[in-house]
Amino acid sequence: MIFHPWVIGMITGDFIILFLILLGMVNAGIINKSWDFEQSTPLQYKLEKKTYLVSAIMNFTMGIQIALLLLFVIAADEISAVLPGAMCATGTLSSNSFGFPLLFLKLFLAFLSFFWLIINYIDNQRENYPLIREKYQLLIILAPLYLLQTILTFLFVSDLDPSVITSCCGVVFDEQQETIGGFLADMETAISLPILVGLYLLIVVKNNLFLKRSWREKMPFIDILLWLSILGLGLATIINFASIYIYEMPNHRCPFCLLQKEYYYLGIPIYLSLFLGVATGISKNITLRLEYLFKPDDQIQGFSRKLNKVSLISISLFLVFAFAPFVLYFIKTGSKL
Amino acid sequence: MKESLIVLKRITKIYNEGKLNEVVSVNDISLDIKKNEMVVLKGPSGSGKTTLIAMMGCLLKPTSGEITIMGKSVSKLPEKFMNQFKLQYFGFIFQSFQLIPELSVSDNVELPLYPLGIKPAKRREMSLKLLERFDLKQRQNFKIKELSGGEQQRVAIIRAIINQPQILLADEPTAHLDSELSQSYLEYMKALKDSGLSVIIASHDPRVCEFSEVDRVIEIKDGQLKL
Repeated sequence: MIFHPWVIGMITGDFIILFLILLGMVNAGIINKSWDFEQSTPLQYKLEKKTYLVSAIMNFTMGIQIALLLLFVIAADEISAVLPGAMCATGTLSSNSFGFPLLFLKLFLAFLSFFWLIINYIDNQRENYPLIREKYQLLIILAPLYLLQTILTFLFVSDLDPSVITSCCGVVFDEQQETIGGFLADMETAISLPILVGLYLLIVVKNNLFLKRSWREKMPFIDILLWLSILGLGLATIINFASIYIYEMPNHRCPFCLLQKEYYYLGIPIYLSLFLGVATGISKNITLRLEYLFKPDDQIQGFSRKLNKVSLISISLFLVFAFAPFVLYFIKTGSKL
Repeated sequence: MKESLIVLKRITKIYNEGKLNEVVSVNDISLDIKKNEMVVLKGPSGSGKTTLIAMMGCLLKPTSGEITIMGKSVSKLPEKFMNQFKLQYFGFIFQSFQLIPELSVSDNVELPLYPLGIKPAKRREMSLKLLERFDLKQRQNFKIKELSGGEQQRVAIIRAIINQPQILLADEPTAHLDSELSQSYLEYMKALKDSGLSVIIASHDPRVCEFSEVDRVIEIKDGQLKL
């Protein structure tokens, strides 16, 4: 293990989150076991007080979990300075077999945390805690994933060895490699880009234009599938298209270097807009589903409309950010399309 | 028969529950207060009347039992909704008035309007209207510490009613007032009752309990109703 400040920060952060999640999970179990809103007993009053606190703590924890995703990538980038062969976060993450699985798990948990926050928000907007059981059941289901995250983080950092030479991003995201990175880098932009733009247009049309509300809100699972496809294709676009014009090098396709100062932190708005767009796009469907489960509710509908707006603005911004380097490159160099 | 305004069903409030210093402040009280009633909760110090009035005013949650106000079960409302309810329907007058001495009269009376999101111009308009009614318009820019006891009393009343509440709760309002001020205070309460408000006063002052406009005196001892 390397006692690098970022390593210590990473482990500490994950342990604090795990501690808070376990605390939340235990209390969620207690609340779910005895909750009966119709009762005015001392126990029920205690549970109502408890859920106020648990909900506030979980809001904080889930928020931190989302922020830690970015910090994890920054940490991996910083740690690369002490690993031979590593040039950026890619080198750190590929230095052992835990790095990339941990990144994917953190990304997955960031999305799930966002969804939990949305459900909690809706629950807190109502007087009678209508989603209390669902949100705590979800918390109990999520808790093992947070445990897994902490274990993986520990294994990852304890296996970091400065005497072992690691691969740089040029190798990991080489289109010849049989890795996920290689697969994404090898994806044919002539196919993936039109599909991405097509899905974007489909989402815009389906959710906003021309169609009646009843049609727009039908088939939420298809909508979720569309958003997940946009996430996958968006990531592929960053690797096999945007990065080439950001780095201005035909073979440099790293998804992490663009988060560095050298490239004006361009990756931050690119990833932020993509992830926010997908998270809010999926959340909109979750809120509609919740509305359907209970009853028509103006407040939920209003919130759902806000999520819809945010998702479309975010994903439009993502496309602007992803295509801007390409356009700027051609303006700058005067090359013909 | 008058409509029920506040209904308490088997309300109990225990402080420091399960600890060595546990106190049962209110013990299994059921009550029904009607609209436009003037009710006095009477009892010696430590009898639980302040706790009871605080629970009626959504300042405290009971340990058990249910409080229904205007048909809405408020004791189980989450904090956020309870605060909204409190802001909308209640006016409070505290012992020694609890005004902020460093602020002006206008700023003090406008305080309850801030969380309601009322715009500054409207706030000023509302406060001036009431200050005029209570003959304090010329004092609007005075600091509280520059006012006499009687003027402070009126400021406290204006602050309690500026949000146009339906229920006015007062906790020992005459405790530090001389006979003359107590009498004028009760006259104001009468006027507010006549204007349609329901008034609930926690007090052990005989002048309040014997006031002719009081509809009911409810006696509390050791956290229970004295029948």
